[in-house]
This record gives sequence, C-alpha cells and structure tokens, in this order.
Amino acid sequence: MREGSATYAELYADYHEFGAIALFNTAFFKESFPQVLSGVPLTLGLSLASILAGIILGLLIAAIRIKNIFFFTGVSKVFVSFSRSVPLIVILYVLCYAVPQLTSGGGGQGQSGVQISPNLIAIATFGLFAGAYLSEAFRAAYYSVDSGQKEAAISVGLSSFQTFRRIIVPQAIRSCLPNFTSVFIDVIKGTSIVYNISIFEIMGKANLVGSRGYRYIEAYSIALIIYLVICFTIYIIFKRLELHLSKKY
Amino acid sequence: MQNSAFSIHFVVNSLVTLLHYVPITLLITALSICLGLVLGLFVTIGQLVPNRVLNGLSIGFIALMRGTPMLLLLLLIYYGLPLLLQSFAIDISGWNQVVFAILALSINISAYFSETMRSAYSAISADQYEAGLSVGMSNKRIISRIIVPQATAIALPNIGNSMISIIKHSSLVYAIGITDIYQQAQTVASSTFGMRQLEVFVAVALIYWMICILVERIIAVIEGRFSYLR
Repeated sequence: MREGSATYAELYADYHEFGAIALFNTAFFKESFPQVLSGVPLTLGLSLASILAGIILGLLIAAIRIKNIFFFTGVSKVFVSFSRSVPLIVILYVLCYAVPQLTSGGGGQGQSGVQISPNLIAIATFGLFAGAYLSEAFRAAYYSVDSGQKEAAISVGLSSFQTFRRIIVPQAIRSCLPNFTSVFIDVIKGTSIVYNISIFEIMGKANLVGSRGYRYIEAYSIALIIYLVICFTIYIIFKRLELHLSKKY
Repeated sequence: MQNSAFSIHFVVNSLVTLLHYVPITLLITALSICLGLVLGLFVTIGQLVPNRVLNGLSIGFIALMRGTPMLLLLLLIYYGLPLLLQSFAIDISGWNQVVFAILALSINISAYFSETMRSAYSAISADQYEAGLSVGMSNKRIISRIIVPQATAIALPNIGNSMISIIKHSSLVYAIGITDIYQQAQTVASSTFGMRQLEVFVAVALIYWMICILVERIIAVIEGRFSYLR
C-alpha cells in the first residue's frame, strides 16, 4: 500500500486510473479483506459480553415486573421505555461522558475524572439495550405458558420452584428463542457504531482501510460480507436450536 | 454553577438549541416510513404471489436487510449508488444527502414492514375470504373491506415498533454529513471545551425519548380505533 504523504489529489487520481468505470478495485478488496477480518474477534467479543449482560439485566427486570414489586416495577418501566427510545449512539455518548464528568467535580473533565475503558462503555451500552428488549421477550415468554400447565404441576405435587424449573422454563425458552435471536443480531449489527469511541472492530477497521486511498466502497463491501456471514451463522444456529427444542414436545 | 459536576441549566439550554433540529429528523423518518410502507407492500406481494422467482427475491432481500447494519447500508448507498449508476450514465452525485438517507432508511425498514404485513395477512383465516364471496362481494372489495382492515389491526403494534426503530436509526445520518439532532449535539458538545458534554447528550436522549413516547401514544390511539375488529 501507499506509504507516507501522498496528497489527496494523487490518491484521487489513482482512484480514477481506469477512467470513469473504476467502480470497484478487486485487488484492493482482496488485499484488505484480512485486515477488516481481524476486527471480527472484537465484534464477537463485545456482542457476546453485551448479550450476557443483557440476559442478566433482562431476567432481573422481567422478574421484577412479573412479581410486581412496588417501586421497582415503576423504575423498570421507565428504564425499558428509555432504552427502547433512545438511539444507541446517544446512549453510548451519555455513558462515555457520564463517569469522567461526574467524578471530576466540575473542573474541566477528561484529565481529572475517572476514565473507563471504551470496551466497557460499549458493553454497558449494548447490555442496556439488550436488557430492555430481552426483558420484554422474557416476560412475554413467561405469560405464553398456559396457566393450566402450572396447575397441573401443582396437582401432581411439584413445589413452586420445581414447577418453575421443570415446567415453565423449558416451555418459555422455546417461545422466546426467536425474539432472543433477533435481539442478538441487532446487538451485533449495533456494534458497528463503536468506532466512534475508538474501538476498532469490523466497522472501525473498514474505516481505517477505506481511508487509505479513499476506497470506502471496497472496504464497506468487505464489512458487509463479514456482517452477513456472522448474522446468518447465528440465525442458523438458533434456528437449529429452536427445532431441536421443539422436537421434545 | 460553573463548578458543579452536572448542570441542569445547561441541559435545558441545549434542549432549546437542539429542538430546532427536530424537524429534519422528523422529515427524514416520516418520508422513510411512507416510502418504506410502499416498498414493504411490494416485498410482501412478492412473497405471497405464486411465483418462485419473486418469492426467492423477496426472501433474499429480507435476509440481506436483516443482516446488514444500518450504518453500513447508509454508507454503501451514499458512496456506492452514485458510482454504480454512473456506469449506466446516470448522474445522481448532485443529489442532496437527505435523499440518500431516506432511501437507505426506507429500504431497511421495508424489510421489517413486509415481515409484519405478511404475518398479519396470514393471520386472517381463509374463512373470511369465503364469507366475503358468499355474500357476493368482488375480489377487490373483499381485500379492501375485509382483509386490509383486519390485517391493519393485527400489524399495528409491530408497525409502531418499526417506526420507533427507524427514528432511532435516523440518528446515524450524521455519517453522511446531515446535521440532525445528534450531529448538532456533537457541535454543541465540542463548543463546551469538554466541560458539559454529558448535559448535551442527556438533552438529546430526552428529545428522542419524548418523540418516541409521542409516536407510541399516537399508535395506541390508532390501535384503539381498530380494536373493534379484534
């Protein structure tokens, strides 16, 4: 690749070296593929950590709302409404600035406040997002189990914990899997904004690669292919799981 | 005031400044929703007609959209579409960014709309159609008087969710150089020399929250109107 200080005009002339039909530089595409691909572990790591955080948060909120615990139900409702309404990128920046500014005591933040790692901010953002959506999915799944099932379990002498563990959970998991998959895929797609806080995952790498020689189309096409492969793989895995679980009944 | 860690006063100030940029967000989302509904309808028809090629195209399109991050789609359309059309000697490089934004958002949302429409359509039992025939209604009339109203009632909650998600996605148009609420917030935030960034983004969050609550309320009212059909 080009090194050093080529002027913009030079780079741009290079871009048009095949004349007006220089649509797509295949050589550049092939050459840059591994570089963009190197962002995959970070994207997957962030997504997995966020979805785990989301599952914990979602279970907590769903439990609070099902049990209808005074005060906490209200807080959960406000939280879910907020997380579902505010764009991810805005949540990302709110969390990004919150800790340093609030710990700095007001005098010129940045240097004096506590700094937290961008990865942690990203996981918190997507964890909140996933938690809000998953709590709704979990709640709907819980209510989708017929109340006759619960009564039947009690009538054969199961304790309430056994009923929950053996009767409700297996059936609820089955009905919430499609929603879970779509939240998971949304989280993976959503992580494409974290380059804003200098995390170089797939999209960040694509931007870096694209900015060299102003070949954004090639770089973004690589990212698109990678995202599609990841999302399809996850979709197929969970579809299999869904089929596997539904065979039991 | 200057030395407090969080200034409510500054949140209110930013809120007032940023409210001027609500119309551009609303314009982009409203037009994207309209165009998305039309495109979604075509994709739904493509899925329902007995034609293997059209079915495959529609399903492929939906799968493609569900696996593509919104930001990436926006950038690819903004940078790629003019180049692609250039090879067919069509010049669209002079178009406003807003047009590209609306195009990208509506293409994305149409996939979600069409999923909703298809499932709403299949939720209506075939008996309804037969009942229409038995009282002597024409095909067109059955669709407009029986199928569409019931399908709308079923689809409304999901359509509402998709609208919320398009409002949120519209915050990504900063990437192609449109100054919307979010982009202006970045400008305001950087003018505070790192002192009051949190307040600005809290203000942005509040604006989006209010817009979404309003949209949810409107959808709820419309749902109420349709409730007699359920």
